[in-house]
Amino acid sequence: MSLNEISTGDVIKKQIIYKMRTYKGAFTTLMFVQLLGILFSLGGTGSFSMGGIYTVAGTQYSSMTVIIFTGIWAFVTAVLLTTKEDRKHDFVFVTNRLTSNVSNAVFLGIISVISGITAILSGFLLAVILILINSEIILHLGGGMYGVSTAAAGIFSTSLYILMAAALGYLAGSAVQLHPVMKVVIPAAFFGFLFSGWVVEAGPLFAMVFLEESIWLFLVKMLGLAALCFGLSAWMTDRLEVM
Amino acid sequence: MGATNLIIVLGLIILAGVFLMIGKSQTFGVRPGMRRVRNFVLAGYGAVLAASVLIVFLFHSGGEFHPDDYYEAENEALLDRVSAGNLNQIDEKFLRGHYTFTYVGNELDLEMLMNSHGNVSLVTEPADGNNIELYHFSGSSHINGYDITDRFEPFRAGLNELEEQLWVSIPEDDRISVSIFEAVFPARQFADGGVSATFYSDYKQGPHIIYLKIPENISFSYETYDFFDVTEVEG
Repeated sequence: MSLNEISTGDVIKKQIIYKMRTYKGAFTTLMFVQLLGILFSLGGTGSFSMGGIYTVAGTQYSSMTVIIFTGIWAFVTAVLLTTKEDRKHDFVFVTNRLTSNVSNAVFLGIISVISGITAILSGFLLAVILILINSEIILHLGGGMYGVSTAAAGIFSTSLYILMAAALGYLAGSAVQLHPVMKVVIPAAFFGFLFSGWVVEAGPLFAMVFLEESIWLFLVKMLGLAALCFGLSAWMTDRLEVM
Repeated sequence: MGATNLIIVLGLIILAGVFLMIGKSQTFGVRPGMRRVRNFVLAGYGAVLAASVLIVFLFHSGGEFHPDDYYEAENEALLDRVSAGNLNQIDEKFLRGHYTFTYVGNELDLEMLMNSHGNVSLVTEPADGNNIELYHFSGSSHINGYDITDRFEPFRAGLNELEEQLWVSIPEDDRISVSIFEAVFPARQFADGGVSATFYSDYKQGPHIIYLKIPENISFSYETYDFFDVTEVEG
């Protein structure tokens, strides 16, 4: 029996630091994913044509593809955190399911912020490349230096979207750990939902959650949904047998 | 293949790629000798991103940005000045084209060869001598607040003496290509809200004005429906 008493907070803190060191390679993957996103964005992410006496034809560029790819990266990283091999790492420390889940959630929160920042900043790298290719490009930054605050809002919302993707990945990964049949059920449910009429039916619900106009309400909704996903994951993994 | 489908396909490829890259290595680990290289690469990536932000914000103007009402006020002032015949008070940036024709006939018909007439106004002014002067003024046009007025080619104009016609037409190159980069796409939902969070471009085309100085001895005619507005200025 050890005479040292260690608090839950200390364990969680140690696990987070450990994960930040162990999963450094995930950031290498993030970098490649974002560079790939930039590459795909060079062809434009949208176009428009407006008539009149003159026809104005435009090509839109944005970091949207980078953000989507980053979201996928966060989803996959979260899924991998729930695998049996990765969960074993937590037991290097004195731990229980609660500390493991909390440290995972905090770790995913931290990588969401980091990847949110790099996703938005990689948009500026894309802009520099586009300036070199096309000197007449209009940079819509919200108007001069005001763009700095818009960029901050962009980082904020992107981090929350990525956190949401990570939370969903963690939930999906935990469900798979609960029963292997989920490996089939989850993708089937996802694609079934995507290609059925339900996705249209659910459109207003998604719009209500994701297209929130108030930045603070958006924060509350996103954190609430992420907490729900992590809570469900914790509830599911609590039922797993001890490794 | 639509852009959305393309993104879905690319997303699935990325998903597969990410799984392939890290799926089998639960620790995302690299060999000890490679850690320094990895740290160096990550630091380099961070430095490149930071440098990009500095370049964009400090060294690239990104085009002249003004709110919509700025352009409206500019265009109203332009219309007022042209309608009053005060050409010397008009900023040169609005002048797209200027033609001078010598005509000895007594009758002249203005022929508009346009695909769309909704935004063209005509101002006529009686003048001395035999010279017809035609000015093409273009009001400020913008996309998302960025001025694109200087990208408009001037209207073409010519005199057909046999037919007693002065013709005005759109330029051969009436297509303006613009490329817009939006660095902070997700933030739009807070600025513009709802559906506007997705891509949209706000294009406002300024008025086009044909200002004609016609010799007093010429009987000049035109179709009023070709123009949004017609004003006759005292000579």
